[in-house]
Amino acid sequence: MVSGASVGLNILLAVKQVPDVSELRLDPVTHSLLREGVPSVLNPYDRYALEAGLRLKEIHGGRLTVVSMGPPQARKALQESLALGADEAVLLTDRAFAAADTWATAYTLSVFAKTLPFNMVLTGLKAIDGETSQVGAELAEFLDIPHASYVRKIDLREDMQGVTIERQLENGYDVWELPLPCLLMVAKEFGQPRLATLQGYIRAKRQKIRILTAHDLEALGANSANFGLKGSPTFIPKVSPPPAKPPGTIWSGDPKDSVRKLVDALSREGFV
Amino acid sequence: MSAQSQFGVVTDSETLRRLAEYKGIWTYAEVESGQLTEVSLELLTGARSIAKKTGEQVASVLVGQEVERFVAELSAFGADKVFVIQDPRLRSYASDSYTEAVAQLTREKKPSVFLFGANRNARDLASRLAGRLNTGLAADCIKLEVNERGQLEQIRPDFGGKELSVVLAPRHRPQMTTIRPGSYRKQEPDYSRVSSSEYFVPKLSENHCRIKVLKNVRQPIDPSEDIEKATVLVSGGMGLRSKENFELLRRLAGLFGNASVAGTRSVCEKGWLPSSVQVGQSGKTVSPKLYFAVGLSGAIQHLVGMQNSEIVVAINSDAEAQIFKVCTYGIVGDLFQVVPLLIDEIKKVRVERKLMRETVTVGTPAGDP
Ligand SMILES: Cc1cc2nc3c(=O)[nH]c(=O)nc-3n(C[C@H](O)[C@H](O)[C@H](O)COP(=O)(O)OP(=O)(O)OC[C@H]3O[C@@H](n4cnc5c(N)ncnc54)[C@H](O)[C@@H]3O)c2cc1C
Ligand SMILES: Nc1ncnc2c1ncn2[C@@H]1O[C@H](COP(=O)(O)O)[C@@H](O)[C@H]1O
Repeated sequence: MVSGASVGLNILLAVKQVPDVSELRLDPVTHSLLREGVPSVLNPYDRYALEAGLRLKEIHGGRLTVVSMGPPQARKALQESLALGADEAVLLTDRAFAAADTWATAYTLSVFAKTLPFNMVLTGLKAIDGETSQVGAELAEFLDIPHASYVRKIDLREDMQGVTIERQLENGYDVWELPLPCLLMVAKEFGQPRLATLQGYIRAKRQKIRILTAHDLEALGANSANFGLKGSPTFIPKVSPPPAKPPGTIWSGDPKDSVRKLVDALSREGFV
Repeated sequence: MSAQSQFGVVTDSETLRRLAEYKGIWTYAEVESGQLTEVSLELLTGARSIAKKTGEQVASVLVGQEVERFVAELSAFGADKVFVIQDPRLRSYASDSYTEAVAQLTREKKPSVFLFGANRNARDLASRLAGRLNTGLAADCIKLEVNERGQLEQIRPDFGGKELSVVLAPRHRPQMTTIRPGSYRKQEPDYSRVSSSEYFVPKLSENHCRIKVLKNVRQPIDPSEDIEKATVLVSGGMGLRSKENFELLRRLAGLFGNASVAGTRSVCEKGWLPSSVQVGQSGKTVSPKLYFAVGLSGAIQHLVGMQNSEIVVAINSDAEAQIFKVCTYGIVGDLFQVVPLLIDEIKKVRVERKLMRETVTVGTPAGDP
């Protein structure tokens, strides 16, 4: 799992293709989520992880491999990553992976990760569709390497055996030292992510994306019972629109009059 | 959907027997900057509500160095039992040592439910722990129910709050959940409640403590920005038009005790308010007694953060604004007219009431109320 010192930094970065949440609309009648035709984008949080990976590579040299588990369309997220400067991209795609929860997602990613000579794994802090922030830590667990979340600063030791990081918390920050290999979940406080250049896009178009199916992962030693919905400890039996409240009392017209009625009501509730 | 519902029904006796070994509703009692976090106390309310339905006990897990002093507080807020894991190596949070310590206790005691606050460190711990225990974890839930099969229904807003999902873990124990701060209100403490405490000594090897914590830097939170604790919140949106105009909301807030000013994401992104006071899906969940929603549209991502408020007052010039669908009282009008009038009217009513009380005391014979 650890590369020899001569190889330099070997970074594996997990990225996700997500629906553009701001484009999601509710059906005006049923209030259920309309998913069709919603554009997909590279998870915005993963751009910070990419930024971290690219900067580390610029300083220390090495290789950056991006991996994604998802439907064939997830190629787009990988292509974007290549355009930004990743060296290699791998897509884990199979119907068997569908409806994976965070545990099954992390498991599936870990099977592939174990085939690489990585010494650092990076992930985004969360994916904007599920917003769980769980996959990073669970992936680190399956790889049996230490991890840190909410990472805003990364200092790699010269000998590449350890890393000092800062973690952004609600009311301050922590400074930790981790041995390599380790997994870091990168926070947006890390710094403004770069944009891909036109040359980047042109280069990315020529790069091949490696595809691995469930069958391929089984050949690498995966237990297919752990894939997708079947392998997921959690599942979602039902979704519903947020409940509607009983209608409130609403005044319009003369503002003076409305305000008087409101203050009356608030007095009755004991606030005035 | 029906196929998926079937999926939640566990029938084979071997699995049922295994699941039945797990008993107890647990909460993780997080210590931060020398005290228990608010959400650690709120979790006990959620835990008790489940325990009431399943007939189980509520236990809290305390981890750190010299943390036994928090046992009394946890029992006062609802714990029947407290597990204390004390070790100098657990002085401050590190994902590897904490995970292993809590995992050892959990494997030995087998709780059926394990709740964590959705604070950064606690959800970090919960994620890694779920991986180690090979169980499910539902993130950022706002409500818990127990279904007719005795399974924990973990309810969470998905897709930026556009949907509410129910998460089940039918075949795995413990059923683990992180709960957003503010989702439950902590109980009135009862310091006469006694709980039992049990000390647990984890077996930590070098390999479990690979992370070195070099520094913990903490800045105290400005009380005016501590919106999760406010009784009254005056929240503003893009309708305020400028940073300066928030002074108007500060004046309104100034009329109430324990009141703070908060806002929507758009407002915080503009820099009109600090991001620490953003209410909603990607901000904070609040549950004040009174919530003023002023010049904000009531986007679903905002609503999920404030829907537990007891009374919602909406002030918006657009009668069609979503916020009017969730308000208790609403005024359709220009906030720059309505809010100053409201401030004056509240002051006026208070002065009148004071005067009345004084006249009554002066004018009535002693003995008469
Ligand atoms: C993934 C995701 C997460 C998000 N998370 C959050 C979150 O945590 N919190 C959050 O708040 N938003 C969040 N949002 C953004 C959310 O969708 C809305 O864009 C935002 O809440 C709108 O803010 P607003 O109500 O201030 O502005 P607007 O929607 O522009 O509303 C302004 C309102 O002011 C009223 N108004 C204007 N002038 C006056 C006047 N003179 N008097 C009275 N009323 C007036 C208007 O009628 C209008 O209703 C999120 C979005 C996404 C996609
Ligand atoms: N299907 C996936 N494929 C690759 N990486 C993923 C996938 N899902 C989540 N991740 C990674 O895990 C991070 C956290 O996601 P989540 O736990 O789903 O909020 C993301 O920012 C990605 O880096």
